[in-house]
Amino acid sequence: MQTFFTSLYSALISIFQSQRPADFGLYKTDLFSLVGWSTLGVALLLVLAFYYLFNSALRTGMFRTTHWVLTLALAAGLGTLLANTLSKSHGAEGSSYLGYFMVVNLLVAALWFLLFSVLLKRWSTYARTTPFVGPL
Amino acid sequence: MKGFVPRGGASKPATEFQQRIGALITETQVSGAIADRKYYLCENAAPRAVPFQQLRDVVQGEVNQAALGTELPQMLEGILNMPQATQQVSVVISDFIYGPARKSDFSQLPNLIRTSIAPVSQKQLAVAVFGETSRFYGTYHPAVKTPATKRTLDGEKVPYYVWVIGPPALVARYTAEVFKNAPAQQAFFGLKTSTPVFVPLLTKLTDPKLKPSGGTVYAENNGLTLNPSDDPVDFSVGINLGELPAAWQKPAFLAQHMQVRLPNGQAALLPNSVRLLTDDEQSGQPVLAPYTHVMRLRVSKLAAPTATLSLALPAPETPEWVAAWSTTNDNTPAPRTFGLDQILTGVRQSYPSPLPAVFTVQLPLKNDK
Repeated sequence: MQTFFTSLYSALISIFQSQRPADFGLYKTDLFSLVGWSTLGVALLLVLAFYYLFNSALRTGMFRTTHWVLTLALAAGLGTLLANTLSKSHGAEGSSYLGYFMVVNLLVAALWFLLFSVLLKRWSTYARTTPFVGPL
Repeated sequence: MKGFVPRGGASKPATEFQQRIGALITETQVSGAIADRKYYLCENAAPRAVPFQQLRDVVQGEVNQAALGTELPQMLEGILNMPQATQQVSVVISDFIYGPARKSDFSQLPNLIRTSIAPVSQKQLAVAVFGETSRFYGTYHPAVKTPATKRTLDGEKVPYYVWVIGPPALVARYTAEVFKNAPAQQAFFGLKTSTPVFVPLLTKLTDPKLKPSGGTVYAENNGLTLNPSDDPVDFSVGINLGELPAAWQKPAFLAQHMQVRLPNGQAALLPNSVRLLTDDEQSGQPVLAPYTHVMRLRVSKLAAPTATLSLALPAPETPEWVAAWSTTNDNTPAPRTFGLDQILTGVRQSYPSPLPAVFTVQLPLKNDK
Protein backbone atom coordinates (compact mmCIF):
# COMPACT_ATOMS: atom_id res chain seq x y z
CA MET A 1 0.00 0.00 0.00
CA GLN A 2 2.92 2.36 0.66
CA THR A 3 3.94 2.04 -2.98
CA PHE A 4 0.34 2.57 -4.03
CA PHE A 5 -0.03 5.76 -2.03
CA THR A 6 3.37 7.02 -3.13
CA SER A 7 2.54 6.44 -6.81
CA LEU A 8 -0.94 7.92 -6.42
CA TYR A 9 0.13 11.09 -4.63
CA SER A 10 3.38 11.75 -6.48
CA ALA A 11 1.64 11.27 -9.83
CA LEU A 12 -1.19 13.61 -8.89
CA ILE A 13 1.09 16.25 -7.37
CA SER A 14 3.39 16.15 -10.41
CA ILE A 15 0.48 17.50 -12.46
CA PHE A 16 1.00 20.73 -10.53
CA GLN A 17 4.73 20.57 -9.79
CA SER A 18 7.32 18.15 -11.15
CA GLN A 19 10.13 19.46 -8.93
CA ARG A 20 10.38 17.39 -5.76
CA PRO A 21 11.30 19.07 -2.48
CA ALA A 22 14.45 18.38 -0.45
CA ASP A 23 12.39 16.51 2.16
CA PHE A 24 10.68 14.29 -0.42
CA GLY A 25 12.29 11.26 1.26
CA LEU A 26 10.04 11.94 4.25
CA TYR A 27 6.95 12.05 2.04
CA LYS A 28 7.97 8.82 0.39
CA THR A 29 8.73 6.85 3.54
CA ASP A 30 6.15 8.29 5.97
CA LEU A 31 3.76 10.98 4.87
CA PHE A 32 2.09 9.54 1.75
CA SER A 33 1.07 6.30 3.44
CA LEU A 34 0.19 7.94 6.76
CA VAL A 35 -1.93 10.66 5.19
CA GLY A 36 -3.26 8.17 2.64
CA TRP A 37 -4.53 5.73 5.27
CA SER A 38 -5.92 8.48 7.51
CA THR A 39 -7.81 10.06 4.62
CA LEU A 40 -9.18 6.69 3.57
CA GLY A 41 -10.30 6.03 7.16
CA VAL A 42 -11.91 9.45 7.60
CA ALA A 43 -13.82 9.10 4.29
CA LEU A 44 -15.04 5.63 5.29
CA LEU A 45 -16.13 6.83 8.75
CA LEU A 46 -18.07 9.74 7.26
CA VAL A 47 -19.79 7.42 4.74
CA LEU A 48 -20.69 4.98 7.51
CA ALA A 49 -22.00 7.83 9.67
CA PHE A 50 -24.05 9.34 6.83
CA TYR A 51 -25.71 6.13 5.59
CA TYR A 52 -25.90 3.94 8.68
CA LEU A 53 -25.98 6.34 11.65
CA PHE A 54 -28.01 9.32 10.48
CA ASN A 55 -30.01 7.48 7.83
CA SER A 56 -30.53 3.98 9.29
CA ALA A 57 -30.12 3.86 13.06
CA LEU A 58 -31.53 7.34 13.51
CA ARG A 59 -34.25 8.90 11.45
CA THR A 60 -32.94 12.42 11.07
CA GLY A 61 -34.35 13.24 7.67
CA MET A 62 -30.86 14.19 6.39
CA PHE A 63 -31.00 12.02 3.30
CA ARG A 64 -31.10 14.71 0.66
CA THR A 65 -28.31 15.31 -1.87
CA THR A 66 -27.55 18.63 -0.18
CA HIS A 67 -26.75 16.77 3.06
CA TRP A 68 -24.61 14.31 1.17
CA VAL A 69 -22.72 17.11 -0.60
CA LEU A 70 -22.12 18.85 2.73
CA THR A 71 -20.69 15.62 4.18
CA LEU A 72 -18.50 15.22 1.09
CA ALA A 73 -17.27 18.77 1.62
CA LEU A 74 -16.48 17.88 5.21
CA ALA A 75 -14.46 14.85 4.04
CA ALA A 76 -12.59 16.99 1.52
CA GLY A 77 -11.88 19.65 4.15
CA LEU A 78 -10.62 17.05 6.61
CA GLY A 79 -8.40 15.65 3.81
CA THR A 80 -6.74 19.03 3.41
CA LEU A 81 -6.38 19.46 7.15
CA LEU A 82 -4.89 15.97 7.60
CA ALA A 83 -2.32 16.50 4.85
CA ASN A 84 -1.23 19.73 6.49
CA THR A 85 -1.16 18.80 10.18
CA LEU A 86 0.26 15.28 9.81
CA SER A 87 3.01 16.50 7.45
CA LYS A 88 3.99 19.41 9.67
CA SER A 89 3.93 17.28 12.83
CA HIS A 90 6.28 14.78 11.18
CA GLY A 91 8.78 17.48 10.26
CA ALA A 92 7.87 18.43 6.71
CA GLU A 93 8.89 21.96 5.81
CA GLY A 94 6.41 24.48 4.49
CA SER A 95 6.78 24.42 0.70
CA SER A 96 4.73 24.72 -2.45
CA TYR A 97 4.91 20.93 -2.67
CA LEU A 98 3.10 20.63 0.66
CA GLY A 99 0.49 23.07 -0.66
CA TYR A 100 -0.16 20.92 -3.71
CA PHE A 101 -0.25 17.85 -1.49
CA MET A 102 -3.08 19.47 0.46
CA VAL A 103 -4.96 20.26 -2.77
CA VAL A 104 -4.47 16.73 -4.06
CA ASN A 105 -5.59 15.21 -0.78
CA LEU A 106 -8.77 17.31 -0.92
CA LEU A 107 -9.57 15.61 -4.22
CA VAL A 108 -8.51 12.18 -2.98
CA ALA A 109 -10.70 12.47 0.13
CA ALA A 110 -13.69 13.46 -2.02
CA LEU A 111 -12.93 10.55 -4.34
CA TRP A 112 -12.82 8.02 -1.48
CA PHE A 113 -16.07 9.47 -0.12
CA LEU A 114 -17.77 9.05 -3.51
CA LEU A 115 -16.42 5.53 -3.94
CA PHE A 116 -17.54 4.34 -0.49
CA SER A 117 -20.93 6.00 -0.99
CA VAL A 118 -21.52 4.06 -4.19
CA LEU A 119 -20.36 0.81 -2.56
CA LEU A 120 -22.28 1.12 0.71
CA LYS A 121 -25.43 3.18 0.08
CA ARG A 122 -27.72 0.31 -0.89
CA TRP A 123 -27.83 -1.09 2.66
CA SER A 124 -28.98 2.23 4.08
CA THR A 125 -32.61 2.42 5.23
CA TYR A 126 -33.49 5.99 4.25
CA ALA A 127 -30.70 7.10 1.90
CA ARG A 128 -30.17 4.22 -0.51
CA THR A 129 -30.77 6.51 -3.51
CA THR A 130 -28.62 9.40 -2.27
CA PRO A 131 -26.95 11.00 -4.19
CA PHE A 132 -28.26 9.02 -7.17
CA VAL A 133 -30.02 5.77 -8.05
CA GLY A 134 -27.76 2.81 -8.85
CA PRO A 135 -25.42 1.70 -10.26
CA LEU A 136 -25.16 -1.07 -7.62
CA MET B 1 71.50 22.57 19.60
CA LYS B 2 72.92 24.17 22.75
CA GLY B 3 73.03 27.52 20.95
CA PHE B 4 69.22 27.58 20.71
CA VAL B 5 68.91 27.48 24.48
CA PRO B 6 71.05 30.23 26.00
CA ARG B 7 70.75 30.73 29.72
CA GLY B 8 68.67 33.90 29.51
CA GLY B 9 67.70 36.33 32.22
CA ALA B 10 65.33 39.18 32.79
CA SER B 11 67.04 41.35 30.20
CA LYS B 12 67.46 38.71 27.48
CA PRO B 13 64.35 37.61 25.61
CA ALA B 14 63.95 33.88 25.07
CA THR B 15 64.90 32.57 21.61
CA GLU B 16 62.22 31.49 19.19
CA PHE B 17 63.23 27.90 19.94
CA GLN B 18 62.77 28.41 23.67
CA GLN B 19 59.34 30.02 23.20
CA ARG B 20 57.97 27.49 20.74
CA ILE B 21 59.45 24.33 22.22
CA GLY B 22 58.82 25.44 25.79
CA ALA B 23 55.14 25.80 24.92
CA LEU B 24 55.10 22.49 23.02
CA ILE B 25 56.58 20.39 25.82
CA THR B 26 54.33 22.08 28.36
CA GLU B 27 51.24 21.37 26.28
CA THR B 28 52.44 17.80 25.81
CA GLN B 29 52.88 17.46 29.56
CA VAL B 30 49.45 18.82 30.54
CA SER B 31 47.18 18.09 27.55
CA GLY B 32 44.23 15.80 28.16
CA ALA B 33 44.54 14.50 24.60
CA ILE B 34 47.66 12.55 25.61
CA ALA B 35 47.33 9.40 27.69
CA ASP B 36 51.01 8.94 28.51
CA ARG B 37 54.21 10.80 27.73
CA LYS B 38 57.91 10.08 28.09
CA TYR B 39 60.82 12.40 27.38
CA TYR B 40 64.23 11.50 26.02
CA LEU B 41 67.49 13.23 25.24
CA CYS B 42 69.38 11.95 22.21
CA GLU B 43 73.02 12.66 22.93
CA ASN B 44 75.27 10.15 21.34
CA ALA B 45 73.82 6.77 22.06
CA ALA B 46 70.31 5.40 22.41
CA PRO B 47 67.71 7.94 23.56
CA ARG B 48 68.05 8.52 27.30
CA ALA B 49 64.84 8.84 29.31
CA VAL B 50 64.65 12.00 31.40
CA PRO B 51 61.94 13.47 33.63
CA PHE B 52 59.94 16.41 32.29
CA GLN B 53 61.63 18.85 34.65
CA GLN B 54 65.04 17.99 33.25
CA LEU B 55 63.86 18.49 29.68
CA ARG B 56 62.40 21.81 30.66
CA ASP B 57 65.70 22.78 32.25
CA VAL B 58 67.45 21.98 28.99
CA VAL B 59 65.05 24.18 27.03
CA GLN B 60 65.52 27.10 29.37
CA GLY B 61 69.27 26.81 29.16
CA GLU B 62 70.41 24.79 32.18
CA VAL B 63 72.86 22.74 30.10
CA ASN B 64 76.46 22.58 31.01
CA GLN B 65 78.04 20.89 28.05
CA ALA B 66 77.04 20.62 24.46
CA ALA B 67 75.93 17.15 23.45
CA LEU B 68 78.27 15.39 21.09
CA GLY B 69 75.43 14.95 18.66
CA THR B 70 74.34 11.79 16.94
CA GLU B 71 74.34 11.38 13.20
CA LEU B 72 70.81 11.97 11.97
CA PRO B 73 70.09 8.44 10.65
CA GLN B 74 71.33 6.82 13.87
CA MET B 75 69.17 9.19 15.90
CA LEU B 76 66.03 8.48 13.87
CA GLU B 77 66.72 4.76 13.91
CA GLY B 78 67.17 4.80 17.68
CA ILE B 79 63.87 6.64 18.12
CA LEU B 80 61.86 4.37 15.85
CA ASN B 81 63.41 1.26 17.39
CA MET B 82 62.04 2.05 20.81
CA PRO B 83 59.32 -0.32 21.95
CA GLN B 84 55.88 0.65 20.62
CA ALA B 85 57.36 3.48 18.56
CA THR B 86 55.15 2.44 15.66
CA GLN B 87 51.94 2.60 17.71
CA GLN B 88 52.62 5.94 19.33
CA VAL B 89 53.55 9.43 18.31
CA SER B 90 57.25 10.30 18.47
CA VAL B 91 58.13 13.98 18.49
CA VAL B 92 61.69 14.72 17.38
CA ILE B 93 63.14 18.17 18.00
CA SER B 94 66.48 18.78 16.28
CA ASP B 95 68.40 21.05 13.93
CA PHE B 96 68.49 18.11 11.49
CA ILE B 97 71.95 19.04 10.34
CA TYR B 98 73.31 15.90 8.74
CA GLY B 99 76.97 15.92 7.78
CA PRO B 100 78.01 12.28 7.47
CA ALA B 101 81.39 11.45 8.94
CA ARG B 102 82.19 9.29 5.90
CA LYS B 103 82.45 11.39 2.76
CA SER B 104 81.00 8.62 0.59
CA ASP B 105 77.71 8.81 2.48
CA PHE B 106 76.94 12.19 0.95
CA SER B 107 75.91 10.52 -2.30
CA GLN B 108 73.22 8.47 -0.57
CA LEU B 109 71.47 10.94 1.72
CA PRO B 110 67.84 10.16 0.75
CA ASN B 111 68.45 6.41 0.90
CA LEU B 112 70.23 6.60 4.27
CA ILE B 113 67.33 8.56 5.71
CA ARG B 114 64.78 6.21 4.21
CA THR B 115 66.58 3.20 5.68
CA SER B 116 66.81 4.81 9.09
CA ILE B 117 63.06 5.31 9.15
CA ALA B 118 62.24 1.89 7.71
CA PRO B 119 59.18 1.44 9.99
CA VAL B 120 57.67 4.45 8.21
CA SER B 121 57.75 2.49 4.94
CA GLN B 122 56.77 -0.81 6.49
CA LYS B 123 53.91 0.40 8.67
CA GLN B 124 53.02 3.47 6.55
CA LEU B 125 53.47 5.82 9.47
CA ALA B 126 52.95 9.52 8.91
CA VAL B 127 55.66 12.16 9.26
CA ALA B 128 54.83 15.79 9.94
CA VAL B 129 57.69 18.28 9.62
CA PHE B 130 57.61 21.78 11.09
CA GLY B 131 60.42 24.25 10.49
CA GLU B 132 61.32 27.55 12.12
CA THR B 133 64.38 29.75 12.44
CA SER B 134 65.64 30.77 15.83
CA ARG B 135 68.39 32.98 17.16
CA PHE B 136 71.49 30.95 17.99
CA TYR B 137 74.21 31.78 20.54
CA GLY B 138 77.36 29.72 20.61
CA THR B 139 79.18 27.11 18.64
CA TYR B 140 77.58 26.12 15.36
CA HIS B 141 78.72 22.93 13.60
CA PRO B 142 77.90 23.04 9.88
CA ALA B 143 77.56 19.89 7.82
CA VAL B 144 80.07 21.16 5.29
CA LYS B 145 83.36 21.48 7.22
CA THR B 146 85.37 23.73 4.90
CA PRO B 147 86.61 26.35 5.29
CA ALA B 148 85.54 26.43 8.96
CA THR B 149 84.69 23.30 10.94
CA LYS B 150 82.75 25.38 13.43
CA ARG B 151 81.64 28.94 13.92
CA THR B 152 80.56 31.02 16.84
CA LEU B 153 77.21 32.73 16.35
CA ASP B 154 75.76 35.58 18.33
CA GLY B 155 72.07 35.64 17.61
CA GLU B 156 72.11 34.81 13.90
CA LYS B 157 69.04 32.87 12.88
CA VAL B 158 69.33 29.23 11.88
CA PRO B 159 66.61 26.61 11.42
CA TYR B 160 65.45 23.85 13.68
CA TYR B 161 62.70 21.34 13.05
CA VAL B 162 60.05 19.37 14.84
CA TRP B 163 59.17 16.01 13.34
CA VAL B 164 56.08 14.16 14.46
CA ILE B 165 56.17 10.49 13.49
CA GLY B 166 53.51 7.87 14.16
CA PRO B 167 50.27 6.28 13.00
CA PRO B 168 48.59 8.73 10.57
CA ALA B 169 45.45 9.47 12.58
CA LEU B 170 47.48 10.01 15.79
CA VAL B 171 49.91 12.36 14.05
CA ALA B 172 46.90 14.31 12.74
CA ARG B 173 45.44 14.51 16.23
CA TYR B 174 48.69 15.51 17.91
CA THR B 175 49.18 18.22 15.32
CA ALA B 176 45.65 19.56 15.62
CA GLU B 177 45.18 19.30 19.38
CA VAL B 178 48.63 19.59 20.96
CA PHE B 179 50.95 21.45 18.56
CA LYS B 180 48.44 24.25 18.22
CA ASN B 181 50.95 27.07 17.81
CA ALA B 182 52.94 25.35 15.08
CA PRO B 183 55.19 27.49 12.86
CA ALA B 184 54.10 28.33 9.32
CA GLN B 185 56.55 26.00 7.57
CA GLN B 186 54.85 22.63 7.56
CA ALA B 187 55.16 19.49 5.48
CA PHE B 188 53.15 16.31 5.88
CA PHE B 189 53.83 12.86 4.53
CA GLY B 190 51.39 9.97 4.69
CA LEU B 191 48.96 11.89 6.86
CA LYS B 192 45.47 10.41 7.04
CA THR B 193 42.59 11.37 9.23
CA SER B 194 39.82 9.07 10.31
CA THR B 195 36.84 9.40 7.95
CA PRO B 196 35.32 12.78 8.76
CA VAL B 197 31.67 13.19 9.65
CA PHE B 198 30.03 14.23 6.39
CA VAL B 199 26.42 14.80 5.36
CA PRO B 200 24.46 16.50 2.56
CA LEU B 201 22.46 19.39 4.01
CA LEU B 202 18.95 19.48 2.60
CA THR B 203 16.39 20.35 5.25
CA LYS B 204 16.01 22.35 8.47
CA LEU B 205 18.07 25.19 6.99
CA THR B 206 17.13 28.82 7.28
CA ASP B 207 19.93 30.32 5.19
CA PRO B 208 18.67 30.36 1.58
CA LYS B 209 22.26 30.11 0.31
CA LEU B 210 22.62 26.70 1.96
CA LYS B 211 19.36 25.25 0.66
CA PRO B 212 19.45 22.96 -2.36
CA SER B 213 18.64 24.54 -5.70
CA GLY B 214 18.11 23.45 -9.30
CA GLY B 215 16.67 20.03 -10.06
CA THR B 216 15.06 17.57 -7.69
CA VAL B 217 17.21 16.28 -4.83
CA TYR B 218 16.17 14.51 -1.66
CA ALA B 219 17.66 12.17 0.93
CA GLU B 220 16.76 8.51 0.87
CA ASN B 221 18.38 5.38 2.34
CA ASN B 222 21.58 7.13 3.52
CA GLY B 223 22.12 8.58 0.08
CA LEU B 224 20.65 11.11 -2.28
CA THR B 225 18.06 10.68 -4.97
CA LEU B 226 18.35 13.36 -7.58
CA ASN B 227 17.42 14.33 -11.09
CA PRO B 228 19.88 16.62 -12.86
CA SER B 229 18.46 16.07 -16.35
CA ASP B 230 16.67 19.43 -16.64
CA ASP B 231 18.62 21.60 -14.24
CA PRO B 232 21.93 20.84 -12.52
CA VAL B 233 21.41 20.03 -8.85
CA ASP B 234 23.27 22.20 -6.31
CA PHE B 235 23.38 21.25 -2.66
CA SER B 236 25.52 22.00 0.38
CA VAL B 237 27.39 19.42 2.41
CA GLY B 238 28.58 19.72 5.99
CA ILE B 239 31.87 18.13 6.98
CA ASN B 240 33.91 18.03 10.17
CA LEU B 241 37.56 18.68 9.35
CA GLY B 242 38.69 19.39 12.92
CA GLU B 243 41.37 16.69 12.64
CA LEU B 244 43.21 18.37 9.79
CA PRO B 245 46.30 20.50 10.46
CA ALA B 246 45.33 24.16 10.83
CA ALA B 247 46.88 25.11 7.47
CA TRP B 248 44.75 22.51 5.73
CA GLN B 249 41.55 23.70 7.34
CA LYS B 250 41.81 27.01 5.50
CA PRO B 251 39.02 27.36 2.90
CA ALA B 252 41.45 28.52 0.21
CA PHE B 253 43.59 25.40 0.65
CA LEU B 254 40.57 23.09 0.62
CA ALA B 255 39.03 24.78 -2.42
CA GLN B 256 42.29 24.31 -4.28
CA HIS B 257 42.89 20.68 -3.33
CA MET B 258 39.57 18.92 -2.71
CA GLN B 259 38.59 16.50 -5.43
CA VAL B 260 35.06 15.48 -6.40
CA ARG B 261 34.58 12.36 -8.47
CA LEU B 262 31.40 10.88 -9.92
CA PRO B 263 31.83 7.93 -12.28
CA ASN B 264 28.95 7.77 -14.79
CA GLY B 265 28.16 11.38 -14.16
CA GLN B 266 29.47 14.85 -13.70
CA ALA B 267 29.96 16.61 -10.39
CA ALA B 268 32.04 19.52 -9.18
CA LEU B 269 32.80 21.66 -6.19
CA LEU B 270 31.35 25.11 -6.78
CA PRO B 271 33.99 27.88 -6.77
CA ASN B 272 34.24 29.97 -3.60
CA SER B 273 31.83 27.68 -1.80
CA VAL B 274 34.17 26.20 0.82
CA ARG B 275 33.95 28.09 4.06
CA LEU B 276 34.12 27.73 7.82
CA LEU B 277 30.85 27.66 9.72
CA THR B 278 30.45 30.45 12.23
CA ASP B 279 29.14 29.99 15.76
CA ASP B 280 26.09 32.10 14.87
CA GLU B 281 25.15 29.81 12.01
CA GLN B 282 25.58 26.76 14.18
CA SER B 283 23.42 28.06 17.00
CA GLY B 284 20.81 29.40 14.55
CA GLN B 285 20.67 26.18 12.55
CA PRO B 286 21.34 23.26 14.93
CA VAL B 287 21.54 20.89 11.96
CA LEU B 288 24.97 22.46 11.24
CA ALA B 289 26.37 21.93 14.73
CA PRO B 290 28.39 18.74 14.05
CA TYR B 291 30.39 20.28 11.22
CA THR B 292 33.30 22.70 10.90
CA HIS B 293 32.96 23.45 7.18
CA VAL B 294 30.35 23.69 4.47
CA MET B 295 30.90 23.44 0.75
CA ARG B 296 28.53 23.33 -2.19
CA LEU B 297 28.48 20.58 -4.81
CA ARG B 298 26.89 20.58 -8.24
CA VAL B 299 25.77 17.40 -9.95
CA SER B 300 25.10 18.22 -13.59
CA LYS B 301 24.89 14.74 -15.08
CA LEU B 302 23.99 11.29 -13.81
CA ALA B 303 24.00 8.68 -16.56
CA ALA B 304 23.50 5.52 -14.50
CA PRO B 305 20.56 4.56 -12.25
CA THR B 306 22.95 4.60 -9.28
CA ALA B 307 26.43 6.02 -8.74
CA THR B 308 28.79 6.90 -5.92
CA LEU B 309 30.05 10.40 -5.47
CA SER B 310 33.38 10.65 -3.67
CA LEU B 311 34.94 13.69 -2.09
CA ALA B 312 38.64 13.37 -1.32
CA LEU B 313 41.52 15.48 -0.09
CA PRO B 314 44.57 14.20 -2.01
CA ALA B 315 47.78 14.58 -0.06
CA PRO B 316 49.80 17.58 -1.26
CA GLU B 317 53.35 16.87 -2.41
CA THR B 318 56.40 18.32 -0.64
CA PRO B 319 55.70 22.05 -0.22
CA GLU B 320 57.79 24.74 -1.86
CA TRP B 321 59.38 26.14 1.28
CA VAL B 322 61.49 22.98 1.58
CA ALA B 323 63.53 23.91 -1.50
CA ALA B 324 63.92 27.48 -0.25
CA TRP B 325 65.19 26.25 3.11
CA SER B 326 67.70 23.80 1.60
CA THR B 327 71.32 24.47 0.76
CA THR B 328 74.27 22.51 -0.56
CA ASN B 329 76.72 24.46 1.56
CA ASP B 330 75.87 25.55 5.08
CA ASN B 331 79.39 26.58 6.04
CA THR B 332 78.21 30.16 6.27
CA PRO B 333 75.24 29.98 8.63
CA ALA B 334 71.96 31.08 7.06
CA PRO B 335 68.29 30.23 7.56
CA ARG B 336 68.84 27.12 5.44
CA THR B 337 69.66 23.53 6.27
CA PHE B 338 72.18 21.38 4.49
CA GLY B 339 70.41 18.82 2.27
CA LEU B 340 66.95 19.36 3.74
CA ASP B 341 65.45 18.59 0.34
CA GLN B 342 67.40 15.32 0.18
CA ILE B 343 66.44 14.36 3.71
CA LEU B 344 62.76 14.94 2.94
CA THR B 345 63.12 13.12 -0.37
CA GLY B 346 64.09 10.13 1.72
CA VAL B 347 60.90 10.59 3.73
CA ARG B 348 58.81 11.09 0.60
CA GLN B 349 60.17 7.89 -0.96
CA SER B 350 58.77 5.93 1.97
CA TYR B 351 55.31 6.34 0.44
CA PRO B 352 53.71 5.34 -2.85
CA SER B 353 53.34 7.84 -5.64
CA PRO B 354 50.94 9.57 -5.73
CA LEU B 355 50.56 9.91 -1.97
CA PRO B 356 47.41 8.28 -0.59
CA ALA B 357 44.47 10.62 0.03
CA VAL B 358 44.23 12.29 3.43
CA PHE B 359 40.59 11.27 3.59
CA THR B 360 37.81 10.16 1.27
CA VAL B 361 34.09 10.33 1.95
CA GLN B 362 31.43 8.74 -0.24
CA LEU B 363 27.83 9.49 -0.99
CA PRO B 364 25.57 7.04 -2.85
CA LEU B 365 23.42 8.70 -5.53
CA LYS B 366 20.29 7.40 -7.20
CA ASN B 367 18.64 8.77 -10.30
CA ASP B 368 15.10 9.98 -9.66
CA LYS B 369 13.15 8.64 -12.59
